[in-house]
Amino acid sequence: MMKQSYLINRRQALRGSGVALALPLLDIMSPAVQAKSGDKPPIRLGVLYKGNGVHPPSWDISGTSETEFEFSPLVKPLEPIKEDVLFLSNLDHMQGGWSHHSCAVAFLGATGANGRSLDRQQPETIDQLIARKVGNETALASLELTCDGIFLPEPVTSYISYDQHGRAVPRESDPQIVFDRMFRGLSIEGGKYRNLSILDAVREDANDLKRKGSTADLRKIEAYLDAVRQIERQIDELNDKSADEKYIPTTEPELLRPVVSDSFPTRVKALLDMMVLAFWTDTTRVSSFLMANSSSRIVFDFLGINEEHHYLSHFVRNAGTKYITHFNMITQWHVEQFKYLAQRLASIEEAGQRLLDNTMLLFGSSMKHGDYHSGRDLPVILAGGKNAGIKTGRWLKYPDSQPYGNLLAGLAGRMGVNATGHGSITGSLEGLDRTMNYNFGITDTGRWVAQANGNKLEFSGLVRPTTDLERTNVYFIRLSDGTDVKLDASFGNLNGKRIDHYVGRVAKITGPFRKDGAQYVVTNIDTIEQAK
Amino acid sequence: MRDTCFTLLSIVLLWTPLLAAAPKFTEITQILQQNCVSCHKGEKPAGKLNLTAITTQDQALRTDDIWERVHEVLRGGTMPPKDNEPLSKEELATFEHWYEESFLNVTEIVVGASPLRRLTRREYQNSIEDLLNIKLHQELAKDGFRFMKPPPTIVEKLLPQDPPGGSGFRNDALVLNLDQTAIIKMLQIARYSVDQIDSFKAAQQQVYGNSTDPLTILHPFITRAFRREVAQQEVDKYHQIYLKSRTEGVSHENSVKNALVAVLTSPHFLYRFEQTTTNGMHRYRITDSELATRLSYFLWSSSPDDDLLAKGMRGVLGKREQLEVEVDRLLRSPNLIEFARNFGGQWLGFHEVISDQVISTGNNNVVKQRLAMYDEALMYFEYLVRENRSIFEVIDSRESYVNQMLAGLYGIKGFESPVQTRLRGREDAPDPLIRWPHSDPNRGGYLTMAASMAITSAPQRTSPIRRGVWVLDKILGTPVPEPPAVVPPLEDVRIPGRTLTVREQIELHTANESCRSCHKHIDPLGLGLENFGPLGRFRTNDIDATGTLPTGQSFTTPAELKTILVSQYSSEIRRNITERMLAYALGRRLRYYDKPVIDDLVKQLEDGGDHFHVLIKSIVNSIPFQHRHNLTE
Repeated sequence: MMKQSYLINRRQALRGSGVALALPLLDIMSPAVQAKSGDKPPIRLGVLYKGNGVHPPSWDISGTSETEFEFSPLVKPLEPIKEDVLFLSNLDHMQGGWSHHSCAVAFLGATGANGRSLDRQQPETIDQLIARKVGNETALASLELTCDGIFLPEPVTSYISYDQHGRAVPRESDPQIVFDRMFRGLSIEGGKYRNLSILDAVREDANDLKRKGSTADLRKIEAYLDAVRQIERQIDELNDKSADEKYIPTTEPELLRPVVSDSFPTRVKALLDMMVLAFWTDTTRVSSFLMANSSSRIVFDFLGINEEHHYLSHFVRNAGTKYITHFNMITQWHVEQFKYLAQRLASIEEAGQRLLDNTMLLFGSSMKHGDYHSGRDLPVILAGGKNAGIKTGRWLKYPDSQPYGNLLAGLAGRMGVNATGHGSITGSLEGLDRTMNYNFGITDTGRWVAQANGNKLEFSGLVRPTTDLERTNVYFIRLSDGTDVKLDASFGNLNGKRIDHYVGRVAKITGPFRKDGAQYVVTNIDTIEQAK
Repeated sequence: MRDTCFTLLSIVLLWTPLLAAAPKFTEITQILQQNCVSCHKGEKPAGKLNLTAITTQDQALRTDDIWERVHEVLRGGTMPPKDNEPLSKEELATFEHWYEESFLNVTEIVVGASPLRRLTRREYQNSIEDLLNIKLHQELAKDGFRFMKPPPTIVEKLLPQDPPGGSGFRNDALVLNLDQTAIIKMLQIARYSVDQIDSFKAAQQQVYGNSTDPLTILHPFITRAFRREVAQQEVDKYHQIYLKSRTEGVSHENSVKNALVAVLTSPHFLYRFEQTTTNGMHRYRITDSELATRLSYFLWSSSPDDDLLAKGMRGVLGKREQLEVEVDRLLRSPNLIEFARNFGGQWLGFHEVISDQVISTGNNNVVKQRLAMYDEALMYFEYLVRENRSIFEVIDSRESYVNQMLAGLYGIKGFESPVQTRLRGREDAPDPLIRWPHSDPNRGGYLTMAASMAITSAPQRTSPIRRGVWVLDKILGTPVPEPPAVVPPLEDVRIPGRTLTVREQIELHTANESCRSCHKHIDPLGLGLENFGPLGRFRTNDIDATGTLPTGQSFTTPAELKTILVSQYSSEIRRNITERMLAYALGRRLRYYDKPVIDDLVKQLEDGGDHFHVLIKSIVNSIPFQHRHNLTE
């Protein structure tokens, strides 16, 4: 009985003594490996996460249809690869995820975190669910990466992957170690005989403990045993596979291990390269990379920014053009990393197509507005995945709010894993694979009017944010007659009434007002609801 | 006055149902059944809370955090939700009574949970170094020559940092997991480490002695690694690995190493396993070897040395005096620095001053400065503990550790570095920290130390809010809740023509009722430290560091602030450090049932003059430190 891992021999070609891979050589390397005809390459899932939300007016895309749209400032870097990306709008958290501590778990868990501490059982995340189902076909079930530290007051912000027991999955932050895990002695293949007999002994020890241990300790001993058994199983499988020579490399490339660098951007790039390499060699099919935890304090000094990421994300409370500009520079930098990853995958050939076509990439934040901490219309983008049935080159704006978790189910389903019922997931998100032709334009019903009633104004219209970066806490509501009601209320009121949810939607609002010339200026939201 | 109180009290006692026996949990189940269970049940209960899963008083006691929440929402009236029938007065009273009896009126000292503890990354590294007598880390030179961050050890490079658990410490049993990747890496680390034996004479002496007999080598090694007496068949198992390797043609030396690698990967080494009794006893004293292990990981973050282990195995730690002799010996050891590093560093947070995020910017001066700040904080903590100082010297003291760089930062006049004159001023000159008594009342103690000031600042400015929160949380042990989701306006106040001062901005908080409840505590503490810049440099220009605490005491300088804290908040500070240290010693977050033991420790500490050794010894002698309770968590 032999499980077949596509490309396993590509891996084996690369491992061995002193073998290391210089990444720019990937392109030269790929034609050297030829797939057996009829084999379909596996689908992979790569996830890039950045915390702290975005500046929504700089993020939101505008346009008239799925294919006719303009790139917003923050997603501008993706313009050259427009045909490979799919923008999604109107995906909302349905269960938790409305705060810094809750939303990191929600990004792949489809439900908010359980408390702030890691000793609580967190929901299993979709990447781990997938890894549990497909991970036994590859050397590593999944690969978790990060370039951020642990935010100590709320450690739950610093992990996006949680296993089936609800435990945070440790991440790698050193590209060399990732490389070594894949190709060097750190892989389970190194010294397999010696390790096997050692594993025998320690497994016996663990079994012994299991018999003598208290019930309270059983879970931990069981976890240890599980890990040992997995290692043994994989050694067995790899032994099977080495007998099965399907691919014969025609050249012996010179391979190099990534160098250690103190430079943050260099390290991030090297980690992204490791994800590419892991996918290309089919070392794993699931990988998540936390670029900034959900309350990240990284200082992007290499961009000339001296404030912490989290501080800048509170761009309303810490008002000023400089802060928004700096916050946006950081988000844009993250988008550029996503572009780099997509382009690397696109540059590699696999079975006559691009590796990107067999890889679904998910990028985003599980928080929308950096200062309000809102969880609606999440900033998420897909790329690649053509062979998984993802139709890119579009902007898919759902007319109604969709559970964000259903997107995760859509991705899981494409890897043969059913995630329905997990967290807030109600089904698989529609429209990822085909043109939906949703009506994007909000139709002016002619009933967007304002009516003064004593000192209160009652009005309906399309909610838009201000374009004034010095005073971000102002919104305009477009009426049918073409004029705008200005909404200039306190931060607490706007945040409390979650004004951010209504942006780009039609809302019915009442509140006290004054007149500024001909313009109505509403100074407080008393009530707000989405207009029918 | 006293009489009236007494009368009132008797009436209350006579007339309230408080005297009635505590309600049974079945009564509580009925109340829940009637009011809560329609939503809070099944696989997808509302608020992720399935109340039907808890059926016995025992289970209820184990889920105290749930009941704390339930109590809060029932009393606050937020549950049942608006449209539902609220609980009747009687039901509420019954619930309150049960809650108080179960969770608040606890008077008996109990053991509490004793979860299985894996070695932390640091404990694992220390234990390997001590067992093999090798060095994995680069040693700090004797003269304190230190201006570069030492390269990571193989352990630090391969294994990710352990996150802190609910106790706030990284040695919290509940978050110390092990996965497949970690085991593979530990195999690698074990191989690397046993290979290091060849490079250290002392290591060869310690591990092999003069023996070439594998059994003679393995028996003592396994004993030390597993920290207890080992049975012959256990040794035989590892001997088998040796024999198997030999038959494969592996050399004697490498076959021994194979067996050593297995020992260092065994769960007996990686976990601090303690025997369980089978006679159904819930609470029992741990063995003396286990106590020796708890003690050495508490104070050294490493396995017991031969002396301590021998005493444990001979069973002579049962008597308080004998145990305290050992505690005193541990407190005198250089390994005590690990207690300062792990307990002190994580409690006060000074290890963050050299976190990778800060230090990776590469600027040499920043790195030097940060390392000096860290060393100052570390050495000062070790001094406090080693020399049995008062716990209040955490806040204020006239003793300090500085080097040339810190002396410049603090503006210390007349500081004399022991470094040879010819080296002074040179970029690569050593700059060791030395003990330096001073008389500046504004300095001394962690409250105003550079490391504390730096970790509570933004990159280039101070943050009085962070500092206030830090003092409340770390020093007073009264952490403030997260700001409410709906944060009220701060931006509405703008004075045309000029920007608000930090103090003016911050005082806006107290203008709003919902902010004031916390910020009246936070702000004066933070603003009171405004004399210290983002790196702890003393500054006076345009700084107004005066303030009044919510309890009414006013101060005009950081020195006065410290005096107020030490004199007026001593009981908060005493309780806080007791709770922190106990949580660290037990490797778990403290629960409602720990209150009696905390009360007892606090009293011992106060009676003993508030000295560090008193606290350490009373923890070591406490019921939970010396016992196990087979609770399932």
